[in-house]
Parts: sequence; structure tokens; C-alpha cells
Amino acid sequence: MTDHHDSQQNSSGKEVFIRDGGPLEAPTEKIEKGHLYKMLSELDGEPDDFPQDDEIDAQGPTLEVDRRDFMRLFSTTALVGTAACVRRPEEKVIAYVEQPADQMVGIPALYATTCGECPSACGVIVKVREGRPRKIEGHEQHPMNSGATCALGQAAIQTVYHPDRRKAPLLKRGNRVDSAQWDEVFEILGAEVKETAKIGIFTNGSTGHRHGFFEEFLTRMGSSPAKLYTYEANTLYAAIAEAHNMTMGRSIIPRLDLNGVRNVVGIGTDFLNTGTHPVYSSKLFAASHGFDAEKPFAQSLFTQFESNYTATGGKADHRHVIAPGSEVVIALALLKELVGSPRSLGGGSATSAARNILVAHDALLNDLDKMLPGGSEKIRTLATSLMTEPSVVICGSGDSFDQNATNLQLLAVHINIMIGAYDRFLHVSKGAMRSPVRSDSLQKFKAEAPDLDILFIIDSNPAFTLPASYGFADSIKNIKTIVSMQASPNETDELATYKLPNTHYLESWGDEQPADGFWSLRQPAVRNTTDSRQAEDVLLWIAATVEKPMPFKSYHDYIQKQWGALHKSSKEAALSFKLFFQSIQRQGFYGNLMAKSTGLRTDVSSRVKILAPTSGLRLLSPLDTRLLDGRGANTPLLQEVGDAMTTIAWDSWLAIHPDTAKSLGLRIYDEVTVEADGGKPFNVGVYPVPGLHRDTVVVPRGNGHKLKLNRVSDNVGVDPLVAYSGGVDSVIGYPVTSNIGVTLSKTGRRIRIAHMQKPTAELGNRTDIVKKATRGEASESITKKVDLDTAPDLYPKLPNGDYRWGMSIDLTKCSGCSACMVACAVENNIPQVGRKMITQGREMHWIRLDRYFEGPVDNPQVTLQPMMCQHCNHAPCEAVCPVYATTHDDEGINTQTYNRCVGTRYCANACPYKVRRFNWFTQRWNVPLNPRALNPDVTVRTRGIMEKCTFCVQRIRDAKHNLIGTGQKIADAKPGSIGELQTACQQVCPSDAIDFGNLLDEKSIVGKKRKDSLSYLALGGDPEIGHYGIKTLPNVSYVKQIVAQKFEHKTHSKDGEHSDPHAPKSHG
Amino acid sequence: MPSSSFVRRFILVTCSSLYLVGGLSSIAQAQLERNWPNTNWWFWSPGDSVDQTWLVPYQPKQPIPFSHELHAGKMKMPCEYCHASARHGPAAGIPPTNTCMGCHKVAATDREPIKFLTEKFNKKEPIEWIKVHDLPDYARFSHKPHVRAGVTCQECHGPVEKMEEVYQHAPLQMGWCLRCHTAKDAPKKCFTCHY
Repeated sequence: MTDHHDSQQNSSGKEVFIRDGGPLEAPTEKIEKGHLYKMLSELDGEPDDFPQDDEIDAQGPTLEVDRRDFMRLFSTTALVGTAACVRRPEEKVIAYVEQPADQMVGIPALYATTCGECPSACGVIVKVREGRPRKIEGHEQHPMNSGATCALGQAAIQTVYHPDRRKAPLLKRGNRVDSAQWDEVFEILGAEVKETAKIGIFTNGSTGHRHGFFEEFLTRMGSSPAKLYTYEANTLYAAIAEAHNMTMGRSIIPRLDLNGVRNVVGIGTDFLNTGTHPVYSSKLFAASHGFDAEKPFAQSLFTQFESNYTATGGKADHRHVIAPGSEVVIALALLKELVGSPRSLGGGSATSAARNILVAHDALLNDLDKMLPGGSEKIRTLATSLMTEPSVVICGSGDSFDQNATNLQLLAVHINIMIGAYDRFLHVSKGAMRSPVRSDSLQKFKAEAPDLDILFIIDSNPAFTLPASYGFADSIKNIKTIVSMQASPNETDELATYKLPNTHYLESWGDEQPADGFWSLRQPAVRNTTDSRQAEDVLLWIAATVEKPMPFKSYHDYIQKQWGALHKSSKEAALSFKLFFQSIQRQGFYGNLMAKSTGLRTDVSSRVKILAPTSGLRLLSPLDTRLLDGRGANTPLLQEVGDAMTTIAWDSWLAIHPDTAKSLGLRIYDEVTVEADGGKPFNVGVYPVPGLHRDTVVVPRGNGHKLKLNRVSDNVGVDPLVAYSGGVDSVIGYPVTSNIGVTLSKTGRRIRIAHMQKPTAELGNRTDIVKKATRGEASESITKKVDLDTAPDLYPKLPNGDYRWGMSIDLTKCSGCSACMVACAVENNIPQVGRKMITQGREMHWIRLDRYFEGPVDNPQVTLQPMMCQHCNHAPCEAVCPVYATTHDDEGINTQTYNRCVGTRYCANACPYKVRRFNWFTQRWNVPLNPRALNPDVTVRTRGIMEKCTFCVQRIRDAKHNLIGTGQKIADAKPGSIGELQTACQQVCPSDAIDFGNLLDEKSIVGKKRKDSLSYLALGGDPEIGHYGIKTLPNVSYVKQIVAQKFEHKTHSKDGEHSDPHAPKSHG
Repeated sequence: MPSSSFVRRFILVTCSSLYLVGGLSSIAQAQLERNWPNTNWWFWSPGDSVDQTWLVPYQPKQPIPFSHELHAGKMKMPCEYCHASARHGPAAGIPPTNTCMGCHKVAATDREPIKFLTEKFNKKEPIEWIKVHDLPDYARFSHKPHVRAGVTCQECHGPVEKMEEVYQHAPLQMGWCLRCHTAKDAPKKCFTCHY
């Protein structure tokens, strides 16, 4: 690096400094970035320029007033203001006529229910204020999620109030679409149902009594229970269930239990984000893979083989990049090594079946070294450790939903039998998870749909989530009547004759049975917010209209009858049913996960017919980690948080290896046309991502909705499924949604992609922001203690009252699910600002996920770092505020007083962490940001106000107020302890990466971690060698990321070049 | 360069207007001091309740002439009998109509206001009371810590048990809050109320 400050003598003989980029350009080159990079542009030196377009200019309303107008306006306002002082407006207080027993003004009523966003059945507690749900939190005792939820689960608070939800039933009469009364619907639809018995129901996955109820309805109508078709776009449910059905004779999903595991191997898996039970798995994985100073050698090792770079892959200690579609080959190779091993644990028939599989597919293994360089050696080593240590292999995700999706699961079954993982880490004989779908449903539906007269489509969007080439629309073309019952309008609605508004899960009765013997109840937390009826109740009405009534008054009645049977066989049978059901309503669930034994054999055999993977440029379309199959796309909260690995929000992107992009002549933001044989082409912007296989291009699903009714998701991004042309899974017949050959061609246009990671988003040395330690260093460090608060300085002393609030964030555990960002936005009334504002860097997240890469672009390490206000004890922002709007609390909190803030933004400039957010506009809290979902305990900010993380001060206040007069202190910020104080981000975290509490309490978790030598302060230097960084002394500390190996770099030599061969290579 | 006469006129106008404003505000301050002694400049911090209450206490006309003097004073009903959530949450709460009807199904049913109340109750219509104590939206006040810390209702709301019709007793200004917070050594940082 050359010295950018050349001193010259000017004409007057004075010395002036001239900088390369001109006097106004920020001297970014002088900032030592370390070896961590955020954008690839930092490596190859190419400018990361946004394409300039018109929309960048003229943002938002402009006010043009000249001086005279200003004076006129000013004096008028002053007069009016004086006049207005005379009489203040009357405000009314409207009390209840009869106050409901569980509602008190200002105090949340809590309802236990079951999340309905996906079939994994997490228990949630809904906080209801004055009759309105306003925050969803995980149920701490619920075994499926132990208090956490995913981003989608948090965002449900916005879907229930969504203005796009239908207000009344719609009825297609000829070419007209009319809104209708429910009575009318029952009458007309009843007449149609009466005439035929060819009725079918197409619905989403569920493990509870719901499918049973639909079957009962179909039977009652003279149709057959077999005409119930269940489908989830996440193929994993069906593939895993079918693999176990074929081998063990029952459609189940093995229950993961990582307690005591040493090796976790993932083959193309994203089980932490888009798996079958993501929150459940994340909790277990974080516990087993996180570093615990008390059990330093119990940390499990995670090895991942993948062609995409998933956030789950980012957690891997050893990550191997494989060719797209070669997951089956890796699994085969692993199986071969295991079968050959004398220590293999498989029984007789399992081993011989595995041998048969290997003989039939031996030819596939010839290409192994091509798909994974050095593959045979790597897999041999891995197989040895799998044999000797307790291990489990987890396979498959949206990246591998190709023709071999089920075959991959079959191979996984055999591998896990060989290494003895079944009934140790994958429970099938005790407490296996139930499959939410029937694996054969799609195949059957395609064959049987043309024979149906009436089809009910309930809470499912096959018109969008199945590729168009699969022909869903064609197969229902001849069905006379299609009744679509959706909580929110979607593409499937458009195909229907009747569009009936269904209730949101927060307004519904229901239940889920994730595992045999474990029941989770769903109960309404709010009365229907629109004129919607629950689909099950509508079916009951129809049954009554056609004079084939079912013996239930309502679905609530049905649920109670079913639970009545459960009650009779339970231990509480002596109790009256009413009391029993009341206790269930309070608790939310019944039974435990390990209750029932299924007694499945694990010594099994099966036949597998694997199709050979094809080489060349392959398109993968995994489920988006936030929007899944597209169900979250109409929720601004989810669009705004952005994808963890790319930080792209409100857009679709094509991820590609930077070298492949270069060889195709593509730069970042170039628009390309993606074309596949037989499919429709689509255009999307290029976004190179390191760590992908060179043959991989990734366009995630979820966006690309074209439905005017949905104001948020309409025309956002692209739907890659249009490119897919009809391949199906060779076993279960699900359409292929990944791994097809594509060609890319440049259109010549460039498009902006709204991503939040900017190369200059923070100041200082990045190696001082993200710190890593190897396992060896970590286990050595447990005896060492440091004190992060010893920085010598002249500032006032640290708070020494009762409390000093602090947070500790474990970088090893954070898996990038973004749930914290959503929870924070819901808790703190943070607006969603949309795509344009994000391209201008005006996002409002109080907590953001920073992503850093380190190492070669072919396979870099990734660090996901939640970054929020660090609550510095010596805060640079406080010193610069001219109006004392940001000050320091005597409890260590850096406070922002909104009513004092005049919006100079000096503080945001001074902040080295770039966590302060400025309100450029007053947000409209009507649509789609609904005022009913606002937190009444937090001020809604207006234009010109700076804001940032407050450590959820409203929760701290509430917890402290509860203890007034008791003489107790908040002990530790965790459930069950005195005070029970948790911040929103800490509460929601599925990986338990965030701890919060009192730093002055030495017994608290944060108090202990503050003294741990693995902890460090961002930009806090290294106190051990007497270097204290920029001495802001934050109250937030991070725990170093534990990695298998660190990239060794020489420190910057004088010429500034990296002389180390392992350092990221420059390309171009 | 502005002419010297302009400068002179400018200085004159500025000084006299400053004198005028200063004089007016000192009169206002004196009026203020008479009503609430020891109030300092915080009184002028903006807020909903800053206007006219310092001349005449705010006392709006309620839809029902409910007498606290009768209920809380003569009959000695405890405050929290009706304002039940004061101890548990941010708002003290206006009682639901069925709390009134607990007695007034039988008590004083011949009076006009009670007839009005009964009619409203039978129609399931709520009573629209007029808010007397109103704080600015950027100040987060909660009754819970105050009640639990033993602050009596009268310290802020005045002798309600002697009020025939409720009026605003205290200015509810930040300075007024801080006087008590200072005297009782309660938290005084910005984040105590503004977040």
C-alpha cells in the first residue's frame, strides 16, 4: 500500500496534503480492513458501484420554500400555535361495559397456542394487549422450540392484521366476481355439493386432527378419505417420510437429538434454517456445537458437503464444496466406506442391502474426485471418524430437491444405520416425529384430479409453489367447482370459483401432534379481524346445508371431542374434562415428545435407483430462508430483514462463483437471462458469492409473485420455478425444483440489488471486530481470565449501583436465521422502509446481521455477527450531541431521548459501529405497517429523530417495577429467575447465542462471560497485550467464533501487501 | 453595508421586543408561582397539558356528574376498588360500567344520572368519559411503580375525595415530576420516562 498522503510544496511554499481520491473522498484505503471481507469488490479492487438510475434521485417529498414564504408560514404557525394553547382538545376515555375476566387495560393477556406458519408445530405465547395480539414469543416449556421462534413465526403478528386479507367471501358468477354473504355461499355451494360425491380436498401439511377431520368430512359427503391430498413445498417432509416408509414401514421423520454427538455430517443440508423442524434443530445444534467452558471437549464437529453456501454451511468446521447434484454420490461414497469397514454397525440385511445399492451404482463413484477434489481420501478419513465416534449424518435441503431427493434420504437411512445413529441421535422407535404430509399425495392428485367435481383448496398455494410446468392449473382445469379457502389471498385463489376468507392461525382452533403422544393445542388469541370463517367450520356448515350433518357444532367442538378421547386415556382421567381442557389451554400442550414407542426396526433393506447427476452449469432454487416457499413474501417484516448470507432484501438475485461470473463476462448487478431446456427464461441480477461451487448458480424461491392484491409481494423479485420443465422425483413424484442445467446470457442492462452489507459500514480494523479462536486456543483459554473493563482512561467511573446492563453474543452459535431482527422490529415499533430506502442505506434495523468472509473465494469461512448499539461506557455519540439527547444512564445504557433530539445526525457520524438509525421520513403506520400491531409501551418516532437499540428498556422498566417493594433485585435475565427479564432478540434466538443481564452480578451469565478470555469487545483491541482499541468500552461483548482452523496472516508489512499464500487471492 | 440608521432601528426593535417578551413571561411566571410554587423552567417544556391549566385548573364536564366526594369521601370506597389496575399496570383504568352497576342496580335508581347509566348498560354502550389527566405521548408514565412505592393517589391527583367534579390538581409537567423524584431520590435519568 502506498502512502496516500503525498506531501507537496505548493507555490506559496506551505506544505499541503493531497490525497489520491481528491480532498473530499473518504480515506477508506487507510482503514486497515484486516483479512475479513464483506464484498468481493474489496478483494479484486473493482469498484462496487451501484448502477445509476433515475430512481436514485428525487427520493421522498421535497419542500421548496423561499425566504418570504418561510416568514409567512412561520408567523402564521406561531399565531395558530398561540391560539391553540387556549383550549386543549377533549380526549375521551372509553371504558369497557363488561370487562373480560382476563383483560386489564395496559397489561398483556397471554395465550398459549401453536404456531401455524409451518408444520413443525412450535408452541408460542401470544401477548394480547386490549384484545389485540401484539407480540408472539416462543413457549419456554414447549419441547419443540423451548422459547424460540423463527423469523416467519415472529412476523405472524403482521400477517394477522394484513390489509390484503379478504374482508368477505368472493363468488365467481360467469365472468363476474362478486362479494357475497356467507349464507349465500352456503346456499349456492351447498346445492353444488349435494349433486355430487366426487369431492376432494387439497391442503397443507399438518400433524394434528385437521386431516382426520377432512377425511371424516369426505366420508360423510360420500367421497373417500383417500381424496385428501396434502402437500408442503418443502420436499424434505415427504422425502424423509417416504424413505422411512420404504425402509422401516412407517412414514415418520426421525426425531433429532444431538446430546452427546461428536460428529455431525451434513450432505447438502440446511437443517438450521429450512429443514423439517428448524427451530428445534437449531436449539439442539447450538447446544452441541457451541463452546462450553465447563465441557470444553464436548463440542461437536460439523462437516458439511454442499454446492450452495447456506447459513448452515457457514457453521461448518469443515466445509467441502461439491458439484451441484452430487449429494447422492457423496452419500454413496460414504456408504461404500462404511460398508467396507469391519466396525460397521448395520445388521445382516442392512449391510447386504447397502452392498446391493453399491453394486448397482458403482459407476457413479468414478466421478467422485471430479465432484469433490480429493474426495475419496476426504471421505475415507471422515468414514473412519464416523465409525469411531458418536455421529449422525443429516442430508438434503432445498438445494437438492432434484430427481434424487428421496434417494438421498434412503442413502441417509442406510448410512445412519451403519454408524449406529438410529435411536441414539435419530429416534425412530421412541418419539419419532410424525410426517405432516402423505408422500404419495401429489402423484395421486395428478391422476385423480380430472375425475373430481368439487375441490376444496385449504391454506395451500400450489399454483405458486409448484412449477407451472408441473401442470397444477391444467389438472384442475376440468373441475367444475374450486373452492379456495386461504387466510391471505394468493395465486391459487385466482383459479377458484369461490374465494372464501379463512381465519389466520391466531384466530383459529386446532391442534398439532408433532410426535406420537405429544399434543400441542391451537386456540384463538383474537376474534376474527375480518369477516372470515375457519375452513373447518365452513365444511361443517356445508355438511349441514346438504343435510348430511356431522355430529359437531363447530370445529372447536370437534377438537374438544378428540381431546376428550385423549383425556379418557390419560393420567388425568379422574379430573373432569372441563378442568383438563382448561389446564391444556393454559399450558398449551400435553404429553412429552418421547412418550410413545413405535418399535420400528432399524435393520432394514431397500432398493434404490439413483439417477446419475449431470455436470455443467446447474441452477439451484432452494427455499428462501425467510420467505420459505413464498408464504412470507407478502410480509414487509420478512422482506426487509434480508437474506443472511447475501444481506439482500426486497429482491431476487442470482448467486454465482466470482470466477464463473468472470469467465462468463458478468459483473455484479449485471442482468442475465436464465434459460433452461423446456422452461421459460427469466431475468435476474447477478450477485457473486464466494464459496459456491463453480458450476452452481443459485436463485432462491419465495419471491416473484404476480398478484396485484398482495401489495407487498407483487412484482418483488423473480420466481425461478418458471425455468423448470417437468422433471419429477423418481420416488415420490414431487416436481424437481433444483439442479437443472441452465445457460446464462447477459442482457446488457444493469439492475440494482438492494443489499445491506456495504464495505464501509463501520470504521476500524475488521480483525478487531470479528475474532476467532481455534478449538485448541479455546480449551487453553478456559483457565485464563481477563477483565474487559480495565481500560485505563480519564473517563468517569463505570456504573456501580444495582445494575449495569450488558449483553454477550456468541459468534459460534449464531446461525443467521434473522429472527432477532424481526423480533426487534415488532417489539420496538421499527418501521419497514422498503427497497428504495435500503439501496440508499436508510434501513432502520436496530439489530443487523453483519456477514464477513475470510479465506479463499473457493471456500471461505463465514462469520455472522449480530450488531446493535454496543452501549459504550465511553460513547463517542454522547460527546457530540449538541442538545444532550443521547446521554448515559446510571445503569450503563446509552440512552436516546427522542423528544430532545433535533436530528443533527452528529451521533450517527461519530458512532464507530454504525448502529444509529435516522428517521428520514415519518412512516405511515396504516398500510401495510398496521398500527394495531404497534407496541404501546414504545414511542413511535417521527421524522428527524435518531433512534437505536435501547436494550428493550421497556422490558427492563417493567421487570423492575414488578420488584418494587419486594426488596429483590433482578437476578439474571433468563426465564425462571427473579425478574424474568429478557430482551426481544435474546428471547427469540433459536441458537441461544444472545445473553443479557446484569454485569455487576458476578453470578449472572453475562457477568461470567465478561471475565472469560474468549470474550472480546468490538473494536476493543486486545487487553491482554495492553492494547485497548478505540476505548469505547461497550457493554456488549462478543464470544469469539470457534473455528477448526484459522487463516494465518502476516500482519501488514510496510508495503502493505499480503505475502501470505493463504490470504484471499486477488482476482482480476 | 447596511446604513447606520438601519442598524440603530434594528437594535431598538430587538431590545424593545426582548424587553416586552421578558416582561410578559415574568408576569406569567409570577402567576405560575402563585398557583404552584417552586416550579422552574421545566414548566415551559412542551406538552399537551401545558396550556391554560395554570390559570384555571382543567375541569371538563363529564357525561355523568359522578361525585368522588360522595363515593370516595363520604362512603370511603378505596380508590383501587374502581381503578383496579393502578397497582398492576401503566393505567389506573376507568372502571367498566358493570362495576357501577354492582351497586346501582339497586342504589339510587330513581336519579336521572343513574337512569342514564342503566340505559347505557342495558344497551351495552360504553360511557365516554372526558380525560382529565393527560400526559404527552413521549413521556411514558406507569402507575405501577408509583403505587407500589407507596405514593398515595392524592400526591398527584389532589384531594379527589373532596372533589365534587374532578379537576386537574397538578401541572403534570416534567419539572413538577422531578421535584418529587428529587425529594424521594427516585430515578431521574432521561430514560426513566422517555423511551
